[in-house]
Amino acid sequence: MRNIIHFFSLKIPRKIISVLLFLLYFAVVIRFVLEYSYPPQSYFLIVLFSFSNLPSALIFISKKSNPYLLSELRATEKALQATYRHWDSLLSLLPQAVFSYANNATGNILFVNDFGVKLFGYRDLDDFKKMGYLDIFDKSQKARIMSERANLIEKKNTMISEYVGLKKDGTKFPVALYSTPIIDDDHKVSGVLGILIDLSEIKRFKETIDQLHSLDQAKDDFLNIAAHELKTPLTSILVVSEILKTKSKTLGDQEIGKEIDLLFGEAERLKKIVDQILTATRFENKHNVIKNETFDLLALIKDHISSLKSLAEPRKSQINFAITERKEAWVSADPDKILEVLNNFVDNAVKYGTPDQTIIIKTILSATEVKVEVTDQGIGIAPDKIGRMFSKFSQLENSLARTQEGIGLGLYICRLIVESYKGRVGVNSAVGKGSTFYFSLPLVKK
Amino acid sequence: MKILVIDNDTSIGITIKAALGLNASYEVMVCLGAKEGLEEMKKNKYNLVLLDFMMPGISGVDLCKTMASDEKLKYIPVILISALPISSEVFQQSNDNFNRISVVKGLLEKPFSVAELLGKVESVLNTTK
Repeated sequence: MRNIIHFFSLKIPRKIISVLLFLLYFAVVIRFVLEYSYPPQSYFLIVLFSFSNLPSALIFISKKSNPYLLSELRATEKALQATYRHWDSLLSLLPQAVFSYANNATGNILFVNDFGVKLFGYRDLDDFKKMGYLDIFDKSQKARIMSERANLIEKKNTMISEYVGLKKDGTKFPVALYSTPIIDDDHKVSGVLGILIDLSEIKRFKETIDQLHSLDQAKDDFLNIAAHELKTPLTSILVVSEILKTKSKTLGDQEIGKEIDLLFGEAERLKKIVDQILTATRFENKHNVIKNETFDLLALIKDHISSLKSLAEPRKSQINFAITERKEAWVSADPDKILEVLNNFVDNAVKYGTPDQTIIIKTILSATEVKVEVTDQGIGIAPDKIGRMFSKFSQLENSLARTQEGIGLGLYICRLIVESYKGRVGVNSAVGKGSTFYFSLPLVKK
Repeated sequence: MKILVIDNDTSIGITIKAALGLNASYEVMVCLGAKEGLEEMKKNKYNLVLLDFMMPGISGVDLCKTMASDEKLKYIPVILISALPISSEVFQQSNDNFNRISVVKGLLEKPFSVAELLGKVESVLNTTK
């Protein structure tokens, strides 16, 4: 409620109105008593009337003598104070500068929280209050700040701007300023409330992240270029060793034949690594045209039982198949790539499993997807390693403790392939009991 | 059958010559640049050209274009060789669809095996007989 009332051009404090009303009331009654009665009765009547009305007049004017009202007022005041303290402590706790400034030319600072005082390097609140709004920003931006403030006050809405803050000691730092006008009862803008966020830390983080990104990109580029550059000399080594292999057979020299086999084998291994690096970068950058064919995954696996079994032969492992019978599982993917994933899982199961183990390839059909599991009886995977199994270069993490060849791109490529067909990959494992690697693909209509 | 190999990399020339040498009916000549290759093609008649995709100066693709617009050379089939993914459609699209130049009859990605090389050469020679 406003305390001042406009009466024509007069500004009258609200409290006076009740006093005036009572005076008018007394005047009318006294006038009436004097008109229709004669002294001394009339004086007696006036005194009696005045005394009998005084208490109610006092209550009406001051409201102070009502104990009920008084206690209610006190309670309200207490609650208000508690709320104020609550917000005040919240404001001082806030790790952002909150302040307000007056809507005048200098933009005098009216209020600032503790964090704001500290952020700008001032001694205390009063020290800060000597400042104007324009003093806490870099002078070079004065024109922009002024025009944006004028705009804010005119449009009466919240605004976000990025400025350069200026500390008491002259240090400049990047800030983000959220400001909103404070509108008084006359719908006029009396000041502006601002929240100021120090961006220096965020900017530093962003720079670091950008740096890491460009390093990561540089690494990918390097790998890509290196892999391509390796391909040409690799072609010569592969082709020439293959020619030599044919020639050594005709010559019948077993010794040389063995050495050439070794040369050819190693060149093949190098080729595989180069291929893996390139496949990974191609899938990451989506250079590859993703081939989509609709096919029955169960039939595809059944057709490849013998080639999968041959993968297990070198270490005398057995493979048992548990393929869902008399059912079809139509998926949309590149069958060659999916077989590559399955081959990789089986290859790993053979490599990391115990010799003579039995590997189980199992398919599980649900309403929406088909899941293929490859379970080995191997050494298993420690819980802290499981999370990184499908990450890039997972083998490089502990390169001294590596037990098997490869650079740890195999499973990463599997994940890229399966995920590019909207499927999932995963592993369940217990140390000493073996692991189950699986992938799933969403089912599609035939 | 006369085959011309054009590649700025000396060892690839030697390698391809050695591999094609396994088939006695192939007579192989190696050139180390597009310019010399073009001169050689004009001088002697060839049945097939194996061409490096990326060469300094005149690239393999440029040479293919020259051949396609030359009355005498436009009937010589070309197999493009590269370490780049030249068989990938995306790669072809981003390189002006070089695979659609009339003389380009085959693509071979490095590294290739002897069998792949011989197979590709044989199939291109058969289809363009």
